[in-house]
Amino acid sequence: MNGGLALFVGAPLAGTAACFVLARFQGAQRAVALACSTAVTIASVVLLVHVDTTGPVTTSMGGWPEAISITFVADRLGALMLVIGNVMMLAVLVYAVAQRSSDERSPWYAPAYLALIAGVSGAFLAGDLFNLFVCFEILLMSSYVLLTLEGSDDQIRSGTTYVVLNVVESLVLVTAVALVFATTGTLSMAELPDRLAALPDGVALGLSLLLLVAFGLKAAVFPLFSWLPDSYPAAPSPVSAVFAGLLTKVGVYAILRTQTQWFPDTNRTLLLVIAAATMVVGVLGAIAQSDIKRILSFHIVSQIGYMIAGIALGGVAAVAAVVFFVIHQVPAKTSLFLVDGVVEQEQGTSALDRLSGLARRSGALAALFLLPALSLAGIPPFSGFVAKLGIVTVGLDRGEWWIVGVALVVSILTLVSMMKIWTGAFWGADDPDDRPGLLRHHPLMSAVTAFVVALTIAIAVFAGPIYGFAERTAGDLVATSAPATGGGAP
Amino acid sequence: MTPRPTVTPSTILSLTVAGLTPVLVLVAVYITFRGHNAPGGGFAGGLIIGIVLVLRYLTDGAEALRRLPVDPVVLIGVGLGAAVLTGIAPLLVGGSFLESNVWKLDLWPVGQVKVVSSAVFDLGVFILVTGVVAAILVALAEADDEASRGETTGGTEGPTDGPPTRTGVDR
Repeated sequence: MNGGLALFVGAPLAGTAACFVLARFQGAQRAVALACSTAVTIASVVLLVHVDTTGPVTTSMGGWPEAISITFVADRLGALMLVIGNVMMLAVLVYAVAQRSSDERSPWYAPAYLALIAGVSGAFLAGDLFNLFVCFEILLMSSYVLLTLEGSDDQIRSGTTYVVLNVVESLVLVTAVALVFATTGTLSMAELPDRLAALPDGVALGLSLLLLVAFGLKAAVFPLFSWLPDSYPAAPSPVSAVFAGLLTKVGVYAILRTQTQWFPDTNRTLLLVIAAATMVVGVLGAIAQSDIKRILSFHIVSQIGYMIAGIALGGVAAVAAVVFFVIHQVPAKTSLFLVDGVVEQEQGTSALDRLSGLARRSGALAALFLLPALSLAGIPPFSGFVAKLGIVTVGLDRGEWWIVGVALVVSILTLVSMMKIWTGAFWGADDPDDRPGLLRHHPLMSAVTAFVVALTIAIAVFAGPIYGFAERTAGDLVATSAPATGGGAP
Repeated sequence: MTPRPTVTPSTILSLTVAGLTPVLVLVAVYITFRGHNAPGGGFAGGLIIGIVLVLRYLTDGAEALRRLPVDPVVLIGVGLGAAVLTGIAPLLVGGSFLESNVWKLDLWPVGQVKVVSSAVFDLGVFILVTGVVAAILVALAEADDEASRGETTGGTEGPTDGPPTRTGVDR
């Protein structure tokens, strides 16, 4: 695998270049984007199997020694996130191409999307902190373009908030990177755990908080979440689907790494409080909304809370639960936005008071919404139940009763707000003003949505082996951290 | 045809810019290639070409950008492509991503010249940055065109602009 990892960033960037050259040829752009995304997705699956059987893969760039070169590292967590990310981005790309929405017809769409793939892949493989920062920038730049591609007033307004907040985030992150380098003399993710453990407590605490603010803004945790429900709904559905499924998870991934590997056993109480507040505020926000996309956007925030709770609890069992939660969360969230995309394309709105009786017009679509919705709420046979059970069990073992209580109450409220969408949009009498008949959309759109929903169900069916993998991943993460006293797995 | 009917072209500015252009281009190329081991590089060089384009835009208006021989978006693609392919090419011959090769050539009139493959990367960045600046200017010029069309159709005079020319890829 000499240099192979670099291709996960290099290939999509080469595709971006090709798409710019082919700016006037939409068909060729689509072909390049689909081919590139498919190739990277297949390669990432191969990489995951390879990493799981033979151990982590490292690539140093430019033939420099590892200490000073840019490195890409694929361990279990990175490879897993790479697979999830690329499968979702490929699925959403197929959906967007099938939908031919106004933004997808823009010549900037394919290059921006491929750059997003490069950025997300790079962030999951980054072997040093500065490289992570650069990949964050790549994915942010392309997300700015994708978010405001239609150029409507609404998009420009919310896009401004999004850009300003993310520039602030980048500033905090690059400051943190500089301070980490100043105090430890390295940015290598492999060396940082030992170097950071040797620092005085106060310095380490400061660094951990700075990184937490930077990544917390990206992950949209309380109180840094308010940009998310504002900006995501303004984007076209396929774009918000991939943002909802992935971009916040990149932040969660970074928090998971920093808190588990670099700063074990610090900020636990703070993180628990943040987690609880994120869950509660997110779900209350969702209940208060009356638009499908806005409800779903607040749910992203709420669900992030569960992952932060798992990270806060720490130890192999909790981290395994977080990893499983991410595996479950990405397809579930993405599929809900994809269903919303079909609704919005047909009805021209996702406001609940202007929708009614969609289930009568397309039972299959209603089912495609209901399954991930129930999964997200944590109803038993679905993957969300397994994910939440994992976190709740660890919480009970540690005696953190209150976070368990909060998690369970928020689950019920999640169900309430999902039922709000269900009764508002899908249930009820057919609106006589509406055009009759089935919801018209390209069959590929519902096929992709069905595929993603099938993934969420497959995660529930194969929960055993997947949980086993999550535990191996968590084992890696906790083992590489310095003295892991919090690792008292039950 | 000027971008705004109220602006009169300045002869002094035009002549100064016309004289400066070759100097700036030379400086840009120099900065780009010295950047391998000294301050400079493709990014700075590309920005200097960007300055040339901005100056041309100031003197000749949007017309200067319509005369561009290539579509700026294609420039962005070519530049990015060159940079990325310099990264990927060493993989094909068993090196690592972005690894640089050095050749020492004896060219008769100038003596020994050190050629590094990473210069292609810098060249790619140079083209890319030039393309980005040009694309931004084209977008500004189009907005300018629209604004002046709005003014003229609102006023008493008839429309002065012809049909909008597609210099860049509009959306």
